[in-house]
Amino acid sequence: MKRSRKFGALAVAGAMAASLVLSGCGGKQAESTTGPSSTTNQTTAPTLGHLTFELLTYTNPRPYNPEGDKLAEAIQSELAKIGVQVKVTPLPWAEHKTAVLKEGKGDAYMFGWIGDNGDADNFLYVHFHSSQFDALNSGHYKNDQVDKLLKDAAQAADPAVRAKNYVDAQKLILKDAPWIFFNNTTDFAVTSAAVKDYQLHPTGLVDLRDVTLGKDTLVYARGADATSLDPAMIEDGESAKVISQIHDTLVRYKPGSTEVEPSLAEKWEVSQDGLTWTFHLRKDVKFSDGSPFTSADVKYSIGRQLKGKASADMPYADFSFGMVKDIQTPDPYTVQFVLNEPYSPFLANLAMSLAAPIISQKQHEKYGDKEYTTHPLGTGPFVLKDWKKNQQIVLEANPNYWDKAHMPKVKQVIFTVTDKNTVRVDQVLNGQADIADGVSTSDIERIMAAKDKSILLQSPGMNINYMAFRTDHKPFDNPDIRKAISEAINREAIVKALYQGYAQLAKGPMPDFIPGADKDGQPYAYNPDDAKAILSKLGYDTTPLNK
Amino acid sequence: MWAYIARRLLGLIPVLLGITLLVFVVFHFTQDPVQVVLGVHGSPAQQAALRHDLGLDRPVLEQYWTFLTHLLRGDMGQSWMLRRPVLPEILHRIPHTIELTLAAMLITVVIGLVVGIVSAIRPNSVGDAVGMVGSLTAMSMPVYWLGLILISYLAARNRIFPMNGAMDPVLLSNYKGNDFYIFWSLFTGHWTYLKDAFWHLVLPACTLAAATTALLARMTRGAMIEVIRQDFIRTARAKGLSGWVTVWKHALKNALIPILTVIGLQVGGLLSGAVLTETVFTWPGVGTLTTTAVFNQDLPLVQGSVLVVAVLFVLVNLVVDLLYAWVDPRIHYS
Repeated sequence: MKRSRKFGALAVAGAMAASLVLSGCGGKQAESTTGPSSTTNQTTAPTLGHLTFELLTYTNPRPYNPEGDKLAEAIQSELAKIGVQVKVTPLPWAEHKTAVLKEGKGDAYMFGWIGDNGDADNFLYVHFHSSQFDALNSGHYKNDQVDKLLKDAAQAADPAVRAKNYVDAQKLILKDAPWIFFNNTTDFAVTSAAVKDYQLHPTGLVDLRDVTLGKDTLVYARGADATSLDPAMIEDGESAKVISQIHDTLVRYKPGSTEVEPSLAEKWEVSQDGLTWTFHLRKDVKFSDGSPFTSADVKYSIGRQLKGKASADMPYADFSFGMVKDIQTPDPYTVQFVLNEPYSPFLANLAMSLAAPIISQKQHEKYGDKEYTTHPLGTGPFVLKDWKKNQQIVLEANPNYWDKAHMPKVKQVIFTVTDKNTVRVDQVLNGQADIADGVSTSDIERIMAAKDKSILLQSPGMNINYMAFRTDHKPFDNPDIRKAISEAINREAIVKALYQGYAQLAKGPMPDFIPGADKDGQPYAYNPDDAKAILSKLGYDTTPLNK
Repeated sequence: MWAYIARRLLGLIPVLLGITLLVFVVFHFTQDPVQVVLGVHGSPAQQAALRHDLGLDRPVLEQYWTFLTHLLRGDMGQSWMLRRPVLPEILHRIPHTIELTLAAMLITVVIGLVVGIVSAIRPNSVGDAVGMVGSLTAMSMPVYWLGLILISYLAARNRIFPMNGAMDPVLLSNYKGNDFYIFWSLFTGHWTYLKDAFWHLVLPACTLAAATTALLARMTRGAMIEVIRQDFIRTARAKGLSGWVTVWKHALKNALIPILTVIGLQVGGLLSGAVLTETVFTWPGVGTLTTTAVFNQDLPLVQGSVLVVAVLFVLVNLVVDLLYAWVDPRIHYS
């Protein structure tokens, strides 16, 4: 986020230039559409021939699109029906990313996003604010009203005000159709039939506190080992899963949503100018070794990631805390964060299991960056007992855990490593593991068939799979053409056919469990006749292509 | 003899130089590892700083030179992905690879020799045909596929063996021994661990051994048939020696040179096969480590594991060469 802000001044200048270009084009377009010649042409000989554009796609499966380039092919054949010729350019993901984001190639591109902190800002601002042209808004979408709504929402402290702004912005975005919104994929996990009180969270957060299974040890099978147990040093979900058992955050996500609720901080308030965030800490919290938890630990945990102090290999330092100017601790149970500018998504950053978990200052000073990863000490429900690298991590229940309502029910948790998704499912079906995550859709029928042995869990994933138009040049600088293309694609049928019902049709740019999502969002509905009408009115040949 | 060993060991140096250079060059043309370490949220400044920390902003030759000089001091550098020194990581994994390779070697030698000899004694009999068709099949099966089939039938559906790993998670959480699970529990008499570790070893060892066993059986058969046809065997039989004594004492010893060569070469096959087998069975050895390192573009870790495996390979071949002299007194090394 911070990185993008840095480009602010530059991007505003760029945006102004872009809007000049846009209005220029718009003017020309208006002439040709309203001119009498084009209306006569639509019935006789179209002047412009077939609409043709280049669509970049990645070839590999992505979490939001397990079918890789098949989606682009589906779009291609769908559009051929209304005479639009799509030249699909497939590339491996890494090269595709460069071609899209750095080189600005193609007229449209397939892309997707997995949210970081569950804040609407992390979906909307990064993709649709005009300061983000050099980053994820590579399609150079610009709408001054959307810009203002998003900026205001990021600065407003009141969640209700923010949510309203985001809903309004989404309505404008859906109307402008800078993207074709395909789907949010679903996350799956399987547990043995004995496992009770476990549910998936859209952010991938694993909460094992209330889980019971009729025995003392819970075996949790996942695809890879943790790389580090130091929250500041990680960027992968596997490390985060274990870190969040050992450490707590100031605030946490509510079950099933990315709304936040109190955790180590029992309440908080924001100053009138939006710059100072004051958190009041619980007084009954101890680290698992019995030592007291105070504001000094909070200051230390986050302070080490602030600008100037963070080392180069702290992946989320800049994203999560780049906007923090200073941290003050007026007393042992109060922490104040002073921000550079008002920035409300900061609260969601504090709930993440990357970067934000609070570590013991004493322990980290004793072991340092290198050794802390194998000697983590937090206030969380579990404590590290043993880590056999690439094999398993063993955690024990923390007898000093502060949240008495959620004292861990199992005595021991073992996180094992099995990289093949199918094998993890078999482990649960055979009783060698109790929970397995990252279940492939190809295994779901098998799990459903073994109902006596296993339970299938699912949760909407925090992601979006989309096609973006390059809105700053022809042909997609014309919103009518974007609308026509959107209407020509039967999203529902494609999503159903490609993902076999294991993905939800998107209602807009973000999944609807995110606070501020427009739950009634309606992207342009499938209407090939209208699409044809729009295109032929503009002078394009809409006779179906043979391909 | 000692001079010979010294010469062979010196010969390691160019081999290792070649390997490191190759890995270095290949990696130089792949994606930027900084992206892998920092993910999507590293700011350009942070990326530059990390690149500098890792020495990636210096010329390749200089990087290579630094790597070599550090290596001489026994320092293989830090893993980019794990942010820990490479050497201890590898040393923790090697025992698992050694146990797996030894088990596969044992299966290869015992089954390969027996099938080969039995086939050779009665060539073109039914037993011979079964042995040879079986070995051809085993040789043609890709390790990866065979491993998955075994897991699917013998572990997932019929639950005879565990699906993967080297020990049951719950047992392992109380295990206090070293990384040689089998050897340690065998020599300290921890039978529960031994039984479990052995049970975990069966499928990966059989998978790894399949192709080499088959090849050895065929080689043994060929070599034995060759020897059995010779005059001295007929003489031995004529002396009144029983069939088995002739085979074991006279024929086999003479057929052993080509067989030994094959075994020596197969060790290389086993080590490279171990990378695939370990990956299929999530076996905690160097093979899995290498695969993970490659996927994460972790150059120091790949470099380190490849080096260690190369050293192992060269050493094993040296041992095999020395065994020649022991089996065949006509061979001398000087």
